[in-house]
Amino acid sequence: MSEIQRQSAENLFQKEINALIKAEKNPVPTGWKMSPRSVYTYIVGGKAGRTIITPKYIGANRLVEIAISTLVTDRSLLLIGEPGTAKSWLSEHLTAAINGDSTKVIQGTAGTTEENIRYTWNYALLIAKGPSDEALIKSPIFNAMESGSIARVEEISRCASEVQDALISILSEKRISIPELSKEVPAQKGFSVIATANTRDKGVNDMSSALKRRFNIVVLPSPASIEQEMEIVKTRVEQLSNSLDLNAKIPNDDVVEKVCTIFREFRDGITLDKKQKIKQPSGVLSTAEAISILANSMALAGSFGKGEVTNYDLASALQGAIVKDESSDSKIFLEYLENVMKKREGDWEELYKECKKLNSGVK
Amino acid sequence: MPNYFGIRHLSPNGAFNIRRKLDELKPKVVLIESPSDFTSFIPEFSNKEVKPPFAILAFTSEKPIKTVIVPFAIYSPEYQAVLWCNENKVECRFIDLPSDIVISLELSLDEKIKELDSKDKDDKSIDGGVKYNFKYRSIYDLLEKKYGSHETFWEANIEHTNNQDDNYFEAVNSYGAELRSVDYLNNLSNSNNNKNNFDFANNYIRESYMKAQILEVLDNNKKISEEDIVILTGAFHTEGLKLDNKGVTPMTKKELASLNKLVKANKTVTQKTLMPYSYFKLSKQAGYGAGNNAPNYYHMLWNAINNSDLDSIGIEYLTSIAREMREEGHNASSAQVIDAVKLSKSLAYLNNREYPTLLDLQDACLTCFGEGELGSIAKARTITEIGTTIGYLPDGMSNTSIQQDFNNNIDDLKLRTYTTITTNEVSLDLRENIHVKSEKSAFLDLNRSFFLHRLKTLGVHFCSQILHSQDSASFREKWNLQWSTEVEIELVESSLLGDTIERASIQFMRNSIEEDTSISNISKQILNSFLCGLPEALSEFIVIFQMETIESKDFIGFANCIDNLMNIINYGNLRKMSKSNLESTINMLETLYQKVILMLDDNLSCDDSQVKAMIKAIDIIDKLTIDFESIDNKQWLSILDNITDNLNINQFLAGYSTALLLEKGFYTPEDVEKKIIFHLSSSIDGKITANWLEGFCMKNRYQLILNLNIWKYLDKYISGLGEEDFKRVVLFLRRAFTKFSSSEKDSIVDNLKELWGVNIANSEINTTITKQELEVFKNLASIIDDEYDFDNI
Repeated sequence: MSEIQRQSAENLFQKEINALIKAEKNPVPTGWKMSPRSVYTYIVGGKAGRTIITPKYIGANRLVEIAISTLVTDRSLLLIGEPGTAKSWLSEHLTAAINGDSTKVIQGTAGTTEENIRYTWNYALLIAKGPSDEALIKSPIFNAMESGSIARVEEISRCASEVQDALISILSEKRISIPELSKEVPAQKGFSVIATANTRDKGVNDMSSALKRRFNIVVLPSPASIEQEMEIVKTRVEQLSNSLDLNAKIPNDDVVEKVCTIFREFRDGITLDKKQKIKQPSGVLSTAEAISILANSMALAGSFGKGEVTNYDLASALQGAIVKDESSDSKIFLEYLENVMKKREGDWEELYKECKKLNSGVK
Repeated sequence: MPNYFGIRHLSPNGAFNIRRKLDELKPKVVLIESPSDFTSFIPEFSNKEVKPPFAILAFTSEKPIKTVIVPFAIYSPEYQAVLWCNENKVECRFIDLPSDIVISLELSLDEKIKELDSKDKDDKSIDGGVKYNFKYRSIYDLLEKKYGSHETFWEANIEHTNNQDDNYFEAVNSYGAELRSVDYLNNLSNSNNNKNNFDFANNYIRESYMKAQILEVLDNNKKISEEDIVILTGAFHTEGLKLDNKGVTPMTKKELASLNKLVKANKTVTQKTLMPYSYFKLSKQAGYGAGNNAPNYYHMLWNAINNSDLDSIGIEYLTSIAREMREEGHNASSAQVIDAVKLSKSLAYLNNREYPTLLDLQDACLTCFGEGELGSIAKARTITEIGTTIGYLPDGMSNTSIQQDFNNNIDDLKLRTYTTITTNEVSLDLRENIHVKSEKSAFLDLNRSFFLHRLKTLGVHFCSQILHSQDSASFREKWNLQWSTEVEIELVESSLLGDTIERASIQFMRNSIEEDTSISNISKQILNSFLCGLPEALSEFIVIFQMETIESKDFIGFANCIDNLMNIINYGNLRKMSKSNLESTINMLETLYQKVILMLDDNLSCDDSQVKAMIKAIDIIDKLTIDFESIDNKQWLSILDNITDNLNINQFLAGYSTALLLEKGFYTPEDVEKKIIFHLSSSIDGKITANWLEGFCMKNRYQLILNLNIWKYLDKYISGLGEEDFKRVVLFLRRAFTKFSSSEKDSIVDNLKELWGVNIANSEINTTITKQELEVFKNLASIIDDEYDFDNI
C-alpha cells in the first residue's frame, strides 16, 4: 500500500486508463491520450477490451457528453454547481483521462494573485542574473499552454475579480506574453482550462460576464433521485463513522430517508410529491451537509445520548443546519413544520414535535 | 404487389421522400391512412386559401362529446401526398375506419374496460394466474434511456437519412416491424391489462378494414393492377396491410355490418369539418402521430431537406435563438453562435450522428447561451422550436365542434329566445328551484350561470354581466345577451383552445396562468373556475397556486386571495361544489392563513399610501378568524396584541388594531384607556400620536366618544403641548377627526363642555371652519408639507 494519503486520479485508475488507450479505435485529438468516446467511457463506466471501467460520475451522462464535447472544440469548460455536486471530482477525472495528468491545478482563494495564473520569478536568480528563462517560474496554466494540455482552476469564483480578469486574455488570445524577456508563448494545440465554481456559497466574487462568455458552462445537478442520494449518504456516513470512531449505531434507513427528504424538499423548494412549494432557507442544504448532520447527530448520540440517534438528536442537528440566519430561516422552517411535516403520514410526528419545541420562540 | 410506404406522421423527410417516390412511380391510385369518411374533403386540401397547419375534425354533437382529430402540417407526408395527387389529377382516398366507427368503438371499449377493471378488482384470483417473465417496457422508455429522448432517435435515424434510394423507407419500415413485434410481445405479457388488450384489438380492426379497402379498389377497377397503387400508412401498419400477410384478414361485409350496428346502438353521429390548427396546439398534443414537440423546428427541417442542406439547420436554429434572445435584451453574439454550432457538432460526433439533432442543439444552446440554466433561453427556445404559425381556412369551410357545442348549450339551457341581435336581459336565481321535477330544470339557472361565465372567460362577447351593488343577494345574477357575427368568429377562434366551451374555457385559464403567475391572477382564475363550475380546473389551479406563490412576499395579494377563497367556500353549496374541492379549498385557506400571519410583521412598516390596502387585508384575515371555526384565532389575537404598542410600525395600523381588539372584546375599555394614555405621553412624537388616533378612529369612534376619561387625557395632552409642538400636532389631530359626522362632533362637544365645566350652546364650539382659520392651517401645512400630504385639509 502506498503511504500517500490521497492518490491522484491517474495513479488510482492507471490500469483503466492504460486499457482504454490500448483498446482505442477512434481518432485521438491532438494533445489527448485517448479519443473523446473513450474519455466518456472512462467517466461513466463501461468496458475496454476485457477491463471493466468503473463509473466515476453517476447520474447525468448527458452533461458528461457536453463537457467532453466542449473540450474537443478547444473551448474552456466551467463546471458550476452547489457544494457537494462533484465538480472538482469530475474535473480531476476529465484531465486524468484526457492528459493522463490531473495535477496542473490552481486553487482559487481570496489570496490567489495574478502571478499564480501567469508566472512569477525566482527572485534570488532574478536579482543575481536579471530576467532569464531560468529565473522564470511558470504557473500550471503556463505549463499547460506549453505542453498543449488542460489546466484546472478550482473555485474560480473565490478569486478576486482582477485575478479572474487575468484569465480572460489567456483564454481569448491563447498566449502569454513575458515582457521582461520580450517574448510571447503561444498555447500548443490541446490547451484548455476546466474551472469550477460554486453558485450558492456566500462570500463569493461574482464572475464577470466577459469571463463567463469565454467558457462553456455546465451546471452539475444534485443527485437526481432520493434513492440515489440516500445511497450516497449511507455509504459516506458509514465511512465517516468508521474513521471518526463515533460510538453510535449507524442511523437506520428510516432516519436517512427523513433527512434526505427534508433536505431535498428544501433544496428543490417543493415537496417530494410535487404538490406543495416550500420556501428555501438561506443556507445550502447539500448532500454533503446531509452527511455531516447525520454524523453530527451520531456524535451527539454517542457522546451524550444512548448511542442511538433519537428524534431529539436529529431535531437539534436539523435546526442547526437549516436555521442559519435567525429570523427568516426559522420562520421558513416553522412554515415547513406546520404545513408539510405536521401533515405528513407515517412516524413523522415525534420529529415534528421535537423540531417544533426547538424552533419555538418565534412569533 | 402494391407499393407500400410506411412513414412516420409529421415527418419532414417522409414528406420529401413520398413526393419523390410518387414522381418516380406515377401511381394511378394513392391510399392514405386517415378516416375514410373524409375522402370527400381531399379537394379542399389544395384550395389556394388553405394554409396548414389544419386538421380534419369529426365530433359527436350529443354528449359525451367525442372527437377524432388528425392534424396536418406542411411537412406531413400525408398532406404532401394529397397535394401531389391533386396536382397530378390522380385518384386519392383515405382508407382508415370512418370516424363514427372509431368513436363508437372507443365508447364501447371504454365502458367494457371499466367493467372488466372493476371485475378484476373484485376478483383477486386473477393475479394468481400465469405470470410472464418478459417484463415489457414501453418502446419509448427504452429509446429514452438509450438516446436521451425517442425524438432524438427518430430524428437521427430517420429524418437525417440521406435521400437517395429508399434509405428513408427502409429505416422506417424496419423500425415499424420492430415496433410491431414489441407490441405483440407486450400484448402477450400483459394479457391481464384490459386497456392493452383493447388497443391491440383496435389496431387489428383498423388494419382489417384498411385491407378490405385496398381489395375493394382492385376489385372495382379491373384496369388497375396492384403495382398502380401506392399505400401510405404509419410504418407500424405496413406489415399488417400486406396482401400476403395472413395474420390480418380483410374485413368481411358481415364484420363491417356489425360495426355499423354498434354505431347505431351507440347512436353515434359525427359531424365533419376542417379546422384551422396552430403549431402551438400541435406541440401540446402528446402521443404518436397526434403532434410533435417542436413544429417550427420541423418546419425548418422541411425547408433544409428541400434545399438538400441539412448542415444549415443547426445554424438556422442557433441564429434564431440568438436573435430572439437579443430581442429580449439578453446577450447573444455571433461568436456565441459559432461556439454553439461547434459544440452541437461535437456532441453529434460523440454520439455517432452525422448531423446534430434538436437535443444536441438544445444542449449547445443551454451551454453557450444560457450559462447552463434554462431561464434566459426559455422564451427564445419556445419561439424557435414551437413558433407562432397558425393555419388558415377560408370562410365557411369550418364548422367546428365548439360552434356545435355552443348551439347545444343554447338549446339545452333554453336561451334560444335570447339569441337575437338586440340586447336581452336575463335574470338568474341560482338556488334550486323546488317547484320543478327534474334536476335539470331545478338547476337551470345555475347551469346557465356556469355557461355564461365560461363564455365570458373565453372572451366571446355573447354575454356581459350586469354587476349589482354589494348588498344585493348573492344568489342572483343579471346578464345581457346579444348575438352578432363577431360572436361566431370568436367561437371559431376558441376552437383552437378546445373542442367544447367547457374545455376551451379551462384551456384559456390555463394559458392565462402560464403567462402570468402572479398571485392576483392565479387567485382570479381560481375564483373564475369556481364561477364557471369547473371543479377539475379549480383543484388544478389550487395546486398551481401553491407551487407558484411560495416565494412571494405579496401580503396584500395573499389576503385578497383569502377573500376570494372565503367567497368560494361561502357560496360553495349554492354552486354545488364537490366535497373534495371544498375540503382542498379550506385546506388552502388554512395554509394561507399560516402564511399571512407569519408575514404580517414584515409588512407593518408600510408607507401611508398602502395603509388602506393593509387595513382591508387585516379586515379580511379578521373575518376569516371569525367565520371559520377550524382557524385558530388565538395566534391572530396575540399578533394583533403585539402590534398595538409597537412604535416602529405604521401607527395607523397600531391604532386600528387597538380598535379591532376592543371591538372583539379582547381589550376592555380600561385596557384601551391605558393604550391611549401611553400614546398621548409627551415623549412620543406628535405625528405618531395623531396617526395612532386616526387609525383608532377608523374602526371605533363610538368608544372614543363615550369614554369621558379619554377626553380628559386628550385635553391634558393638548394643553401640555408647547407652541411649536401644538402647531405640528393640531394638523394631524384635525385630520383624525375630519371624518366624524356632525352628530358625533356634537357628542364630542358635550364631552368637552362637561370637562371644562362650561354651559354654552354647542354651536359656539362646533363651528364650520372660517376662511381665516383655513389660511392658518394651510400655512402650517406648508411648513411641514414635505412630511405629510395635507391636500385634503
